[in-house]
Amino acid sequence: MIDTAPTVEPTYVISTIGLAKRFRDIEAVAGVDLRVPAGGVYGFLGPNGAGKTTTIRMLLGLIRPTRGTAHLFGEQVASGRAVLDRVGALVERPAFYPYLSAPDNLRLLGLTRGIAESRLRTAVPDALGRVGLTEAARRKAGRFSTGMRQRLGIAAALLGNPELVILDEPANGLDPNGVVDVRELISGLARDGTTIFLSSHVLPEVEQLCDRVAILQKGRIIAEGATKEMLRQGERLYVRFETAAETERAKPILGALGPVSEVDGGAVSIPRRPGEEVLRPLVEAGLYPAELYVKRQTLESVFIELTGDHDAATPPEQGRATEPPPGGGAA
Amino acid sequence: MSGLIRAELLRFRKRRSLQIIVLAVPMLVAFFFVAGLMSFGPEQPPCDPAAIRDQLISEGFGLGMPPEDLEPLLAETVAQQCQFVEQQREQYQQIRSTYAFPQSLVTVLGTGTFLLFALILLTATTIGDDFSWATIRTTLLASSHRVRLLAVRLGALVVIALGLVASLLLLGVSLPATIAAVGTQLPPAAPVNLGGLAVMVVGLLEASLVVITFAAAATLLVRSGSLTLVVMLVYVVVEAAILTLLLQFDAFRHDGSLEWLLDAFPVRGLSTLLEVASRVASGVTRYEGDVIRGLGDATVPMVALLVWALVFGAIAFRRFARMDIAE
Repeated sequence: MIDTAPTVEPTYVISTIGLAKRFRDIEAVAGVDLRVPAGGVYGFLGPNGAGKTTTIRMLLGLIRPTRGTAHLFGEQVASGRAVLDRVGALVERPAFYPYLSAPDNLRLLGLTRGIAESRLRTAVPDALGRVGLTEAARRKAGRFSTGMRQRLGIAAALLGNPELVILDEPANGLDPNGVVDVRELISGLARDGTTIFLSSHVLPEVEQLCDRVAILQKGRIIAEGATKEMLRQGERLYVRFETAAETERAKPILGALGPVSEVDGGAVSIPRRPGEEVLRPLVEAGLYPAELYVKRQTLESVFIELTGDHDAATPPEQGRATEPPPGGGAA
Repeated sequence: MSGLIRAELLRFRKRRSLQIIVLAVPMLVAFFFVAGLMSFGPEQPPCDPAAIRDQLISEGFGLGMPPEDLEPLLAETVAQQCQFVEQQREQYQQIRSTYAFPQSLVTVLGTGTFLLFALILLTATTIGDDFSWATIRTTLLASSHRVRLLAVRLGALVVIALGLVASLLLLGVSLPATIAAVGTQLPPAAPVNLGGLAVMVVGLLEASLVVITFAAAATLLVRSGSLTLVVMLVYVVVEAAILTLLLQFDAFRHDGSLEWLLDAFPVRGLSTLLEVASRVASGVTRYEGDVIRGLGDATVPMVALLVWALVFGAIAFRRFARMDIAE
C-alpha cells in the first residue's frame, strides 16, 4: 500500500520516506530514506541482493512499495503519474522487441512516451549516435549482443531528454571502450544539467562520476554523503619510525590524536590529521618519523569496509588494483 | 493516446506471426466453405425412371417372375427409388442453397469459432510475449499509464475482431460469386432474416470481446501466453463439468425453472446464441423436433456474454494496474 503522501520538498529530484518492499518472507527493502538533489550524478551502491534494483523499480512505479513513499520532483510516484514522464531509465538487462530494428524499437518507445513522430525522426538517430549504434541500426534487436542491447537500453533511457535519468548497472556487458563511452556520456549529461541516479558495481567509475553516494545493505542505507567527504573520512595518516622503541614511545602521543592501529612494516596509523598537528608533539618528545604518509581511500575500500562484502566490489577485469600503503600522497 | 495507438500499429505491422494468425481466419473460413460445398458433390441429375428400370433388370430384379406380376412390382420399385432420389436431391439442393447468397452469410458466420481461436491466440501472444521478453518493463518505463496501455492493446484487438467479422461478411458475399464464376451453379437461396443475421454478428462481436478480455485477464494472471491457452482449455472442461453437474437437477433440465441459467455460462451461452441466431437468420426454426421460439431465446446469452466481458475486462485492468513488474 502506498501511504498518504507527506509533504516533500520539491528541491529533491528523488526522495523516499521509509520505502520498503517485502516479497513473501523476504524483506528486500527495509525502509530506505533517500534525498537526491537536482543536478550531478548520484551513486547508489550496495552488494548483490542489497535491494538496489527493487528500490529503483519502486521509484519508477514498476512495483508497489509495501510501506513508505517515493517521490520524484516532489510528486508521489504511482502508476500513471505524469511525473514519471520526466524520467528516463535503464533497469537491469534492457529488453526490446526482438523482431524490431533498433530505430523501430526506439520509435515505438518514443511514441509510447508521447513524443511526436516528427520529433522522433531526429531524436532516434541522435540517440543511436550517442551510444555508438548508428552502424548496427538496421539489425533486429534480437540479434544484438549483450553490450549492444545495453547501449540500446541507454539510448532508450535518453530518448526525449528526460530531466532525471536512472541507470541500473549501465556498464553491464560492455567492453572497456563501452565503459569509457558510458562514463563520458554520463558526465556529458550531468554537465548539461540532467540528474543521473547511477547504480553500479564498477566502483572506480562511480568514484569518478558521482558527486554523492548512498550505500545500501540488506535493504537499508548504511552510509550516505558527498563522495569526496566519504573518501576523506576514511583516509588515515601513517607514521613510521626507524626503531621499534621509537614506535612504542610514539603510540601514546599519537593515541591522543585518535585511535591508533599498527600495520605491517612497523608503521602506526591514525585518522588523517594535519601534518603539523601530528609532527609537533612528536618532535617535542624527540621523535623524528622516518616516513609520514597518507593512504588515499578508494570508494572500493570504503565500500568493502562498510559492507564487509569483498565479492560485491568491482569485478577484477574492470577494477583497479588496491593501492599499496606507501603509494599515497604526503601529509 | 495517439502515440500509444501508433506504437501498437507499429508492433502489429512488423510482426509477421500476428499477421499470419489474422490472415489465417478468412483463409480457413474460405477453405472450409468450399470444402463443405464440395462434400455435397455436384448438382445431382433428376430421377430417370427408364435408367433405374434398366439397372434393376440388369441386376436380375424379378428374375423368373411372370411378366404380369413383374411389371407392377418393377413400376412400384422404380417409383420408390425415384422418390428417394428426389428426396435426396431436394435435401442436397437445400444444403447447397446454404452456400448461395444470401444464406452464405449465415454459413460463413457459423464458422466464427476460427475467429475466436484467432483472437485467443492474438491476445495471449501479444500480452504474453511482453512478459516473456520482459518488454513490459521497457514499455512501462516509457509510459507508466497502465490503464491506457492496456486499453489501447485491447482496443487494437477489438478493431482486429471487427475487421475479421467484416472479412467474414465479405466472404459470405464474394465466395458464392466466385464459385459461380468458376462454373459451379448453386441453387437459389431463401432470403435471410436480417434480425437473425444482425444478432449473429453482434453475438460474434460479443463473443470476441469475451475471449479477448478472458485471455487478457488470464495472461496477466499467469504472466504467460502459452499458459493462457492451457487456462482456456481448463476453463472449457470446468464449465462442461459444472453444466453436467447442474443437469442432474430437474430445475436445470429442459423446461425447468432454471434452465435459462445454463445459457449464462460463457461457452454454452455462445453456442446457444449462435445456434438461435443462425437458425432464425436462415429460417430453420424447427429442426428434428427442436423448436426455436425466436430471437428472444438469445436474450440470456447476449446479456450474459456482455456481463462476462465486463467482468473479465475489470479483472484484467485491475490486475494490470496493481501488479508488480518483476520482469
